[in-house]
Amino acid sequence: MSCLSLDRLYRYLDGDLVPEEAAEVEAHLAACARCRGAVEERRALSRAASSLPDLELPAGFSEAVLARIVRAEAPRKSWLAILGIGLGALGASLGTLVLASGQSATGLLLRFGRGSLQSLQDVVLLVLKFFKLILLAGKILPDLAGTALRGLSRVPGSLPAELLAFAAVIALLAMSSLLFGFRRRLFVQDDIGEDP
Amino acid sequence: MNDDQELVAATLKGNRTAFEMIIRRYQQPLFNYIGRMVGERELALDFTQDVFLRAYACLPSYRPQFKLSTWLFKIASNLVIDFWRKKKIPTMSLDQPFEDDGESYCLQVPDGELPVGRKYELAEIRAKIDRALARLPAALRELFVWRHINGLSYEEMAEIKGLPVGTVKNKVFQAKEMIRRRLEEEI
Repeated sequence: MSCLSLDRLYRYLDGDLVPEEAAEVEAHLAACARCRGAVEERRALSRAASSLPDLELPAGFSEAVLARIVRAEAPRKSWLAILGIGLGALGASLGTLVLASGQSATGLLLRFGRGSLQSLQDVVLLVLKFFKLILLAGKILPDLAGTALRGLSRVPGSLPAELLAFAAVIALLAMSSLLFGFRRRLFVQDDIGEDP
Repeated sequence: MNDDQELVAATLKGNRTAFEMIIRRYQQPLFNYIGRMVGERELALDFTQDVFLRAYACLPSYRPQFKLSTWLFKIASNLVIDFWRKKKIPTMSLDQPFEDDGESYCLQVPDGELPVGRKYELAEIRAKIDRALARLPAALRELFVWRHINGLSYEEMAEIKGLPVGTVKNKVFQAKEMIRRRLEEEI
């Protein structure tokens, strides 16, 4: 048998060879001083490495870890407590309402839910209409202002004061009517979303 | 209540003393490993604490078919790899060949010279190994520490690293040879 390869040598030291292979290696080692030295050297190093001293842990290490765990859990627990108190308060309020109204808790919850949904729907509709109004005003106002300016520039200065006052009243009425029209439109739309 | 699985089950039921027993059981092996991987005592203490904090937080996801020790070393290994990445320390894959691979690994015992094991006292050899270990590529150092200092089996190491057992064995042999050569250089 030729000299040991490193792989074979380490597998021999690890007890990883089948008995026949191990016997072959031992026969070779008995005859080869070079390989015997190599095996001896590596065995000594492995023993030394496996007996390296522990790194020194400070006293109270496990207590310190547990303290960190407790600290990490504390905020979560306080949130849970707040949630518990909130839910408890909600439950108590509901109980009081049930007792005071004489209705069932399910009925009250259904009414509350329906009412909240309706309010949300109204708010969404209102916001949509507000934006629609702004867009409309953006389209109308420049034309209106331009027309008014052009009209005013043509009014002759010699017209009687009574006639000018009459024209101003008519203009005011027209503007009020315009505004009233918008409001009506707004409220007519609102009616559509309401329950019968 | 001595079995790891029993301690895990008790911890999951809210028994903190059971988790303290787990900490006491594994604090020294984990600190020995992490200390030799990061090289700074304070940092190693922090990381060892972090391993237990993570383990405590993830304990509900722990699967009892795996050994608790293997699971803890996997958490520790991930922490160490994250640290290397943040510090931009090269973390070569164990699948890649190392620089010293190949032909250079042949039997070397100088004729007429006493081997290292006979030349020095055990304490002296240990000190030299510790110094040589610090200069070993990180991925090889990890396997060497697991094998010789933590006493993990090749199968356990293969499970932690997700590698074939044969690959792990070869890398441990390489690590041993590199240390031996560095010891020779020192001499």
